[in-house]
Amino acid sequence: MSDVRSGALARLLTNPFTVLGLPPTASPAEIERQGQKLLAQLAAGKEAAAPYSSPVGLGQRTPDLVRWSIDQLRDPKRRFVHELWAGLPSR
Amino acid sequence: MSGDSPLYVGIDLGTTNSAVATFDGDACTLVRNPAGSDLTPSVVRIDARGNVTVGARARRYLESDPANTRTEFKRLMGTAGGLPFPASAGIKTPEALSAAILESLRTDVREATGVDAGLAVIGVPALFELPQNRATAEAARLAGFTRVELIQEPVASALAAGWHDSDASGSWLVYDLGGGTFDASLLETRDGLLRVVAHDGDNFLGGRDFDNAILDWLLAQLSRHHGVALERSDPEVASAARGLKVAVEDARIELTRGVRVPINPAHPFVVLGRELGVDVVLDRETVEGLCTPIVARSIAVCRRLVAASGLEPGRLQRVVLVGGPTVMPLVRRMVRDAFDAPIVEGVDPMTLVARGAALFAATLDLNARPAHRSAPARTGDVPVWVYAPAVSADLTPFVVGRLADAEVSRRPVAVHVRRSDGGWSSPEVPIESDGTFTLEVKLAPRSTNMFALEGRAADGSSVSMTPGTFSIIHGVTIGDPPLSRTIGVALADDSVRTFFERGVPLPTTRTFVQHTVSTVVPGGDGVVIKIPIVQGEFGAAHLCRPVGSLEIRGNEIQATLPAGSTVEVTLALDRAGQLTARAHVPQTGRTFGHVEHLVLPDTRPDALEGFLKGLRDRLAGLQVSAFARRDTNSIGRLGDVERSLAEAAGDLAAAKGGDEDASQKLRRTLSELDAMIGEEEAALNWPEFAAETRDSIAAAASWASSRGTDAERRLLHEAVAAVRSALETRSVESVNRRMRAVIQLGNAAYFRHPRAWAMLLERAAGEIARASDVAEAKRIVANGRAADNSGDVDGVRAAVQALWRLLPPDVEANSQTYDSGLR
Repeated sequence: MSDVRSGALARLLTNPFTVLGLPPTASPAEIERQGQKLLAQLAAGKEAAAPYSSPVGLGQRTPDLVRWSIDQLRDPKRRFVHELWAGLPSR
Repeated sequence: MSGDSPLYVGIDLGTTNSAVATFDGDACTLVRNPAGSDLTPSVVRIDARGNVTVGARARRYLESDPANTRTEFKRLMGTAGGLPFPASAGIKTPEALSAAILESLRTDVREATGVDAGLAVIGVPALFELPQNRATAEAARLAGFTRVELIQEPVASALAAGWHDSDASGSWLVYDLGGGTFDASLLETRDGLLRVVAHDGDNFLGGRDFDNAILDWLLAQLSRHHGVALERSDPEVASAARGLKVAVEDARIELTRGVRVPINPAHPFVVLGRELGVDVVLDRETVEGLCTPIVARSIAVCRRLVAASGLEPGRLQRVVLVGGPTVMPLVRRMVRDAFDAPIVEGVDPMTLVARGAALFAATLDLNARPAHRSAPARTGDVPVWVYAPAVSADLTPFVVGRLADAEVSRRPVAVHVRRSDGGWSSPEVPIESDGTFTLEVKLAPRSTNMFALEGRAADGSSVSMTPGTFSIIHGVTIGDPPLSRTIGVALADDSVRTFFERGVPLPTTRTFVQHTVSTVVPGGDGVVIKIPIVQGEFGAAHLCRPVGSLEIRGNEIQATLPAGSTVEVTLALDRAGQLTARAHVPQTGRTFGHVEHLVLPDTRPDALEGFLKGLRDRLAGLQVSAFARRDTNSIGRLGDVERSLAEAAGDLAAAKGGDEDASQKLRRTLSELDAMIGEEEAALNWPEFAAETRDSIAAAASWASSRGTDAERRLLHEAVAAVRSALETRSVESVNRRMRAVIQLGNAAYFRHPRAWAMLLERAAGEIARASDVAEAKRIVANGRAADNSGDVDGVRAAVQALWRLLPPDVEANSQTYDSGLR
């Protein structure tokens, strides 16, 4: 059950829009471009590319997390769910 | 193709035929073999002196020397058995035989381009299991390739079919019927990005099944003509019939154009001590009658895929046909009738996979031309790492760079790039304090774009950089391929800790913390902790297939590990689904990474026969019960199982005749039928199961309404609707999968209750009589209650988690779950 609780937190911390630093209104092309840019910056070791802020604190981008985020937003059904979570006010 | 242009190599290692293509950034070229053909038959012969021949030269011996001439070994990749070559008294694994084909293709590339290619992409069926992928990579290594990436065949096909069509958008079905495997993939193109939405298939359905059906028909004809019993279950008949198969395949291929052809074996058909004349004419109508049920099976797989993906009928934009058997008019007609979508014309279904694999090699920048990879640097050049996509669908992609050496004498402060056609150059961008720079480049559409990179020093002078150039191809790119089957670790209670759900993008890595079931003492070379890795969609571990096992031996640990010790398990999958695993035991400070890669399970015919009989008995019991209840849905589903069991009996006969491929197919079929029967057995308890599900939904809804957020309540509403829809299908597995989201949302709300952990503590305290160490359990309960009294929530939670680790898993379940040492 503890995994599940952390799963709920993770919904906010690893929301794909938050990870990519984009609003929930971002277009598919913007998502692809931002993802490609972040992956290249992470591969190059650009320090400022890793940290990002979320409603539940600071997160660290990894290539896996960025690729997962892009993939999540490519699927319209999954994107819809993430849009809901991304729209939550900070607690 | 110039000596400076890159060389990307793609290989289709097919069941019946193989092909290799190269891509130089502009054009894709098929490489011909010495016989002048684009296709190399996947056939290997070894003679008495140990000489190995492959391809068309070997295929000639399939009829005259079937015992020493092997084909269709792709279907056995990842299995333990070797194939005998009696003349040379040798045994070869399927990997070694595949390596012989790959080596031949590599030689063809060398002859055509002068490049001894060590890097390549090889296509594999999307539903290959981990041992099969691993065997393919091993075959490439044996063939001398130093680095090989795998691509799922339908993705390669779609990439090749859509490469020059980057403006197209919509959903595609790739129908890939190979010699021995069938893959159906649903893809979507949007803005030049090709994405695999989902796939399905059957690893044991292919053109070979057409030939087997025709061969069985032919044997029946010959039995009648000559008054002898010819059954493939008789090993002698099976061996002699292999000689007829080439003639059958040739006749079937000829019938794609003609309507009647005689079957002409190249050598006399000698069986049971007699030479039997083969004077039989085959017509298209007969072939179509024999093959229709097989094509119908493939279409049923496609329909299941389209339905599962939620695509409305009629929304499919086009269908791509791949594989030699798809040139049969019957296949094209049935596929066109089944899906109201045009079939993509003008592409060669036999070579799409090789072309797509070569294009994919470009997206990975897997350049096989060595000179291109190591351009010599000039003295004084500033070394830089450049991260540019090898292929981009975006006309203005980002390029990121980083100075490789911070201590260079003339450190540039800014960079800019120029496109070599002179059509564009970038503004200058600064190099940041960490040595990185990010800029946007502009591509000329549908071509290979070369760029020159140049730096500027603080004094304004120009600084040369190495590499001073990079290239980006504008074309269709593909999204990360999805995992085809869920992968997890089997736990001692027969549950599965899911690491990667089906559909997650590859590559991926994940770590979970688990705990040992029992106390482990050091010493001895026996396995003391076993971590079975399984693949499949079932919640029960024993229904999933074991694909690897992480094992820790007694002599690898120095001190006793008490029950409940922490083990951090990490699984990683590369882009082609190849697995690595490691286990870190914090108490010892050591990490273990030895994975026993399992082969596909053993398939002795007697064991399979026993398995089949057991399934029949269970089916009979279920049918009696279903008729008594007049449950027409269940009667229908059981009828499907009964028909599949009848087909499986045919494979058992072939397996008894020594057909290892039929054994593997039967093993898979029986496992799937076992799961279906298990589902029906579970459905017998449906009323109780449905009631429990409704109780769980009510509990989740109650917690969400009192402690959930608005968003959680909205999501719960959707998740409950999905469960209700699954309840209507009466599928236990489907309900369980959808309930995960409901339970997650309910738990998220539950744990906002300030006494959530205290309630769990009291529930666990009621079980301590079953703990592995009752005294320790009592101490933990006392500590937990003390923490609760002082308002220490973290202390209560730690106590609950410690108690859970002391409570035993179900002993019966553990015996079924591959002896997992974890919980």
